[in-house]
Amino acid sequence: MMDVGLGPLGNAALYLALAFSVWGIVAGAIGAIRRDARLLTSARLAGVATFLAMTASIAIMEIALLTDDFSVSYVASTSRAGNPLWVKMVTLWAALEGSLLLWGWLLSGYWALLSIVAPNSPLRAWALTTMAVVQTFFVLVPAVIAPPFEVISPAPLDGPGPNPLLQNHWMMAVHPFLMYLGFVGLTVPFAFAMSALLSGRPGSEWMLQTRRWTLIGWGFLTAAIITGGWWSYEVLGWGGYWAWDPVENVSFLPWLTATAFLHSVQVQERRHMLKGWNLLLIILTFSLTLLGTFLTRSGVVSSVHAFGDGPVGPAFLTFFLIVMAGSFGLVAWRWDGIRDRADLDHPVSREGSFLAGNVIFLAIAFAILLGTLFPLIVEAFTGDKVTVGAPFFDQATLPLWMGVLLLMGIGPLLPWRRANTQTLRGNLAWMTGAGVIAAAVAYAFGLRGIYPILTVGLSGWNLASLTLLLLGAVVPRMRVGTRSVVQVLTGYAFENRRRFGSMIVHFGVVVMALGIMASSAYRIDEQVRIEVGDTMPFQDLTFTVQDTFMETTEYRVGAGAVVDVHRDGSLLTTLRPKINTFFGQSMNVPTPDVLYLPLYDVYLNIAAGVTPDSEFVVLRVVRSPLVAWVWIAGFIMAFGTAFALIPSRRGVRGTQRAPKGSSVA
Amino acid sequence: MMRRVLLLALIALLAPLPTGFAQTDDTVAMGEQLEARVFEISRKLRCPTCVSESVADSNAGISIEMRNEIQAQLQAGASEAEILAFFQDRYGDWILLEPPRRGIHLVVWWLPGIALAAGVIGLTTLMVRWTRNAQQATHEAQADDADLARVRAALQGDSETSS
Repeated sequence: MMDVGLGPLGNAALYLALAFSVWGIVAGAIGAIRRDARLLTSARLAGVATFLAMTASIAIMEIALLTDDFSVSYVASTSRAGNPLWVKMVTLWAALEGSLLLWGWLLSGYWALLSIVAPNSPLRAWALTTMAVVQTFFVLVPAVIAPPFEVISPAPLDGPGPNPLLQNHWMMAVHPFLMYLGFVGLTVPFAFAMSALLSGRPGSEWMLQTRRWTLIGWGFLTAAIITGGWWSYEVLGWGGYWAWDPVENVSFLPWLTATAFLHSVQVQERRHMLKGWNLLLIILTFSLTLLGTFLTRSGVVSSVHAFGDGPVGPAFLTFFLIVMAGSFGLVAWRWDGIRDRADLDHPVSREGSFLAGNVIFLAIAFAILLGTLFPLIVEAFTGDKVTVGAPFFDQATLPLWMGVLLLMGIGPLLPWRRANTQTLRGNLAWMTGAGVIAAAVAYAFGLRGIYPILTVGLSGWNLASLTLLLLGAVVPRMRVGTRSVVQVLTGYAFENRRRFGSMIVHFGVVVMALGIMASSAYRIDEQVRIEVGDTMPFQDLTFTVQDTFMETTEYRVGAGAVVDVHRDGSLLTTLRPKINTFFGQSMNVPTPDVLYLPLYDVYLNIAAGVTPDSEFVVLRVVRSPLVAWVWIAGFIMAFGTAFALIPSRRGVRGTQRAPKGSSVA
Repeated sequence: MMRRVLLLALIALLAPLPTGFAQTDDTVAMGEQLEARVFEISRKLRCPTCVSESVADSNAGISIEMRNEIQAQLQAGASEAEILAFFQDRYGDWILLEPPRRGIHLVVWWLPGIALAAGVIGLTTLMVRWTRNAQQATHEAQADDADLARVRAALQGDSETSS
């Protein structure tokens, strides 16, 4: 042999990472038990070393992808020599083996970062050891179970390229990355929770130390789910963004439990109760990310006949079971230190509303998990095939979502411990008034049906609540000083970043609720056949098919139609929906073209193949109101999360050394 | 004042909606209504050859044929229930995206509600117990005059140092 190929080199990096992460477990555990500072330092270095080795493996894979080294199995099965540069780069996570490698790399990044920045507390040793355990699994997967670095000899001359649905849109470069950042972000609070149990300090310390990590993980997961919806809107060609598909559902489950966790940790922080519950929630959240990967990567859900197809599914199932058994075992072991005598001054209080919200979030998660698994369970026991589709998920979760919106309005206005009846009545009057007016206005403008009207009403209720919150913060501050409204408001926002950030996120949720309601309940679908050169009216628009076209690039052939969209005689835009066929792939990929407007989107998709000499085109036309606001809401929520994360000038733990005069909350 | 502002804000927010929602009623309205019905019904049927798409959302050949069939049956005067039954006869319950409310499917319909009820009952029970705990705690922690004097002194000292 001449020189070492990239495949063996990549494998060497992975085995190195495996050795480092196993050392991280051994040194961490022994160091923690013996309180050996040198071993613990060694374990921290193992985290950094693992990250470096994983980075090397990622770099080797990228080099293999960019230099078209088809002797590497992953490159041979998912890349293609003629593809554009950016597609080759993101091909890293376009298929199973590569995306698990990416997951392992991002995890090692968090572990290394944590090794460096985590404060030297009694929790650190076991937290890093837990990270090492999780990391070991995520190195074992690419090293042994789903290896991307197999050597193929003789190397093929070219590969088929990634799944065409993935190379058809740039958002593919963003969505999986965000998803894994969310998943691994939520591993950090899980690791600290395990450490709290292992080191016998199941108080609130683990939770306070990981507050920001939790928020980071949650923020990435939120952004990932929304960009996933956007990607499916732009690529799948049916004009929707959420189909209650199993893959979507299982990515949504950890988000739901993480959202519940985000709220209930505040109860523990302020009122020192729910210790056990919060541990349960973070265990559940982390386990659900594993269960979701098992369900979607093993082919169990989409097709029962593929059960056990490939070793990745069973590996995740095994790790899921180990995590569940291990963490619940720890909870049982430490139960005496966890159970506490909880005091609740009054159910109508901040903590009361957060608890009710928790029940609702978990009920939603349960309904979705059940609906996703039900066909599988029934087929396993009776052999019958059943379908649980979108109508079930809508009907089962919509009432609960209304409950979420209701509580989201009232919760932040309630003080901790006990609400002042007088203030509460006043607030409720304003909010109910706003809600009723909003619902009435919606009705007057032609909205019908219980959920649309309820959604608008509850949006009014929530906007009133947010207004009251801001007024409650700003008005007293205006009275005591001579500063302008803007100064007071920015001052308040930056002094109370978490609270103000949460208001932004909640506002984003309202916008999203309106967008989802309008775009799902008032969407208009049509399939039209238009002769080339003809004009067809559609609602208040007209479509003119100018021409058909066929374009060939280095990578694909696209065939579609040029359609002018007019409203009131003036040209709004020219849309060019087409169908792409990528070289090396047989599948045709619909490539819709969308006119984004504030009030509604016009979505055109080619429904039947077009050739240059076609005399007509068949278009799928979708007009969904307010759908753009779903994405805008996503940006608002991401911004709110980022705002809450801005480090305070008073230092990260500013709440602990409250300076004088800070009691004016 | 605030009510006016709120109301105006709401109207401003919602005023543009009708252009987004209202259906234009011109000559093609009939055809559009039929089309809308076709999609409404086909949204309840599963595309037989896809992984998890409805007949409305899929552009697979069989879905287009099924939509044409629905349109033909609607034009012939069939009701939604009759059309769904037509497909159910041929494919079984499996074709319905909304599980029928009978037999084994009742499990999936009832369990979420039962789980929610259990959650609510559990939470209520806990809340009652916790509220009792709190009352007991305040009862046990009843301060006597000496305690109050100490607190007053401490508060005074505090306000002097901090202001």
